[in-house]
Amino acid sequence: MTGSLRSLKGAALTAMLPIAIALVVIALGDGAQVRILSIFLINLIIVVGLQMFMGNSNIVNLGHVTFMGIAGYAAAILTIPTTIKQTIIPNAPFALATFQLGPIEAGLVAIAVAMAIALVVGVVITRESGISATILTLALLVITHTVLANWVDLTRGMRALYGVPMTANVWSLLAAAVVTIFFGRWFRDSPFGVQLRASGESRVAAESAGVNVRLLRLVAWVLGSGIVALGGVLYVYLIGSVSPKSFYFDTTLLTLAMLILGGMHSVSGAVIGVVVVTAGFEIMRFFETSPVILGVQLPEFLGLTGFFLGLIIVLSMALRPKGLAGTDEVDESWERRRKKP
Amino acid sequence: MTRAMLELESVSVDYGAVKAVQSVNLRVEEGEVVALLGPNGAGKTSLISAVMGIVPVSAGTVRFEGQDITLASPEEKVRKGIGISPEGRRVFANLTVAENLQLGASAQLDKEVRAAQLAKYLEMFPILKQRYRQKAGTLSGGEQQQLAISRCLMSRPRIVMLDEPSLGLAPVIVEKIFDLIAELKASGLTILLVEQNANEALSIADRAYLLHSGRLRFEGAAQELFDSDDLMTHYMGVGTAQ
Amino acid sequence: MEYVVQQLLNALSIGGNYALLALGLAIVFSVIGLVNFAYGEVIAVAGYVMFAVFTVTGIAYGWVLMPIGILAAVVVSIALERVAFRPVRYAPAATGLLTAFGVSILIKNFFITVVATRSKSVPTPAWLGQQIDIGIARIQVIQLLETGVTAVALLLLLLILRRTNIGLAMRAAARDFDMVRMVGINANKVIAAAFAVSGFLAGLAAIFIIARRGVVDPFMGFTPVLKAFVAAVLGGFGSLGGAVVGGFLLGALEVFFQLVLPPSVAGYRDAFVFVLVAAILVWRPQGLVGTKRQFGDKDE
Repeated sequence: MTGSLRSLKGAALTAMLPIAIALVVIALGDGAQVRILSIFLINLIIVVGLQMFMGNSNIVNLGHVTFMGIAGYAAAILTIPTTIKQTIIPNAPFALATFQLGPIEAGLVAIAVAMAIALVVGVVITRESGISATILTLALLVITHTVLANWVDLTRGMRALYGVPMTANVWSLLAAAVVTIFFGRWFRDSPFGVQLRASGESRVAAESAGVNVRLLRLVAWVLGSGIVALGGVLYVYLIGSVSPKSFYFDTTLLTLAMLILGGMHSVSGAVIGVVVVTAGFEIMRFFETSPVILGVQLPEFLGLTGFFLGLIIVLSMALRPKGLAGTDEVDESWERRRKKP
Repeated sequence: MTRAMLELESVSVDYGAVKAVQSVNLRVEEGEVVALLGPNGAGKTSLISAVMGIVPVSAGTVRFEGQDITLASPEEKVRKGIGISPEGRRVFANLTVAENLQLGASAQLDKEVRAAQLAKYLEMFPILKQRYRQKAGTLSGGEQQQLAISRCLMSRPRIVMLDEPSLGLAPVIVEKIFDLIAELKASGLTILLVEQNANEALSIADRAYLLHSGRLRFEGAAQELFDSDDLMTHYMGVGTAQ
Repeated sequence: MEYVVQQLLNALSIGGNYALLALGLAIVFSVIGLVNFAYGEVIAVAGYVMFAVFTVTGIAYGWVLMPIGILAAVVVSIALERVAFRPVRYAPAATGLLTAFGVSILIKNFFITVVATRSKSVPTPAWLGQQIDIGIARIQVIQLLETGVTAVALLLLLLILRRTNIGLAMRAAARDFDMVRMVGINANKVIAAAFAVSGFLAGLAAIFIIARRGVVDPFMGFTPVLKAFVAAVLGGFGSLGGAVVGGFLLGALEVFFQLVLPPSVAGYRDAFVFVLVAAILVWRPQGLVGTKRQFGDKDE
């Protein structure tokens, strides 16, 4: 079968897992569990976005949540009703307190803004490799967080912006997650993705073959950031409020852990990582005797839950260093196993 | 039959699906100089790396003085008395000549032996004495080769493996290096010499093995190989006719 | 004038703290290429052990407790390597990073479960905060101690690296780890030594961190290790001299911006510091002291 058809089938296979999980939870679960499912789907989008850059270019990225934050705040500010805005951020620049947009327009604007910033920043970041690049992404995270936390007129600083119309429901999140999986898989198998992965092995070899590594990385960076931005927009539409805490180290490290645990070289890996960590979390929580807290924020690692999560991570890395999914997409490894005599 | 000092029995080295070395039998007797020849990519360095334990032996046994050391770690092998001057010399460029030699003596616990070895080889390789406090990275290729060889001799090993000592060196320097190896031979050292430069190696070795594409093609007296134009042209692409 | 001296000393003591930690990270990285994300937990362990000893015996913070803290840090550092990092020693970098991260979560939550989320106080002796007159300025005892101890520690480290066999081995291993094994030096010993030194430095830093804060909490290691990481990369990751330079530079930058920024934008201090850090890295990606990668060097 042709390459693109195989990608399509592969993506569909990968998407089946979250779809199945979603359907079961929606049918049988209560409100709290649907809530957890929603957060799971948003994490999925973010981790796939992260995978698009990290998995294909082999650079540890600490800055992805920046774009979740930028887009999230943009969407929030644009959609909060003007009456509320007049109260909480009356002095917002660009006359933002005087108008509001519908969720779809606001979402598109927010993602566009995030991607524009990603482009500008990406030009600088993609110049570097390895650990230098990682520190630059870290700088991005810290700088953005500081700005969000201090530009009180625009963002209300450390206090939450509330009143965002909660237009996201679990179905739209599921649809977005599935689309993201297809997109991520398409990118991975596209000429961009293939060349990028080859250059991840040896930048010098790729460049001497005429591959513009820097441009490829920039493309992956911007597209990946766009996906993460989408996750941010959906997040604020789900939660209805936003504060800088949601877009800092906790989320960064959680999503990073999910990706590396699942296997950063494939979209399937990203999906598996989110599933395993979320499931592990919920199972742990089930056994902890303290009362279940509604997951309004992305969950923090508290107590025994966190302890066992750490243990799972350490053991998994010792046993499966390349991540649970290995380096291939699920359908790719099935093919390989079938071909063996 | 006296027990060989170093014995390889059906040793194979695989890198995944690539079979770098296939079922090689090789032995080095005490006091011998044995040459392991072969063109680029024949598997010589893979074999040596496997003997040292840097890469795993996929099949077969490596015995040193009768003891099975196939699975031993590199540092254990060195402590048992195997020295190596690896391909590419691999001197510690950020350390001085003195420090390189000091590290080389790590496997030798007897302080007096260390001092004696140091004095001996500083005399044999006077350039090292000259550059004693200089960083090894500033030495020329030939000087680094001398350093690499002395470094592995510092612990007074029972056998040394010299991997491609002439690689990348100018002919004049190559001459000098082989003169030094001849001196080492004269002092009774057991040497396994891995080389692409067949002429020089055969002129100094007692016995020789020829490796090509991972397999042994010839084993015998060095003189025999030296005189056999067929083998040389066929496998090495060079004739020995002067 | 007095103000300048005070601020200079401030920068030195903060920078010294960062330098110690950056060095601890750099030593481990230079020998085995692992970014020890769990380093912050070594600091926390030192803190909690001291807290535990204090709680049980009532011995106040001082000359008895401090060495115990340092010892705890060394022990835990070596133990971590043995238990958690050795299995992933030859795995790709991201694996090591995540393992370290997993260990970090494990230890943090251990303290949360066994002790508490809230901070616990460790009373520090009053004489640490006392001001003394050194002629041109009045400074706190702790600042003097911090700067002095850092200097001594760095000197000690230099001596170990240059004069002892194991120090030589560590420096050689940073260049060519396999070759160190091929001269007969035990790989595990070298790595354990690197972790021991790293732990020692963390213990030292922990002492001063706690002396300043007066409390221990499960998250206390996070910010220090983050700063240490930035400092190390700034100087040239893996380079020991670079780590020291990076540490002091970062400390100086923080103090500088703290002073220079008007109150209305004081909250943006971290952003300014990081913009500058980013600019330096864009200009010199190999770090201030690091050597530029040449063509033919091993790839990222």
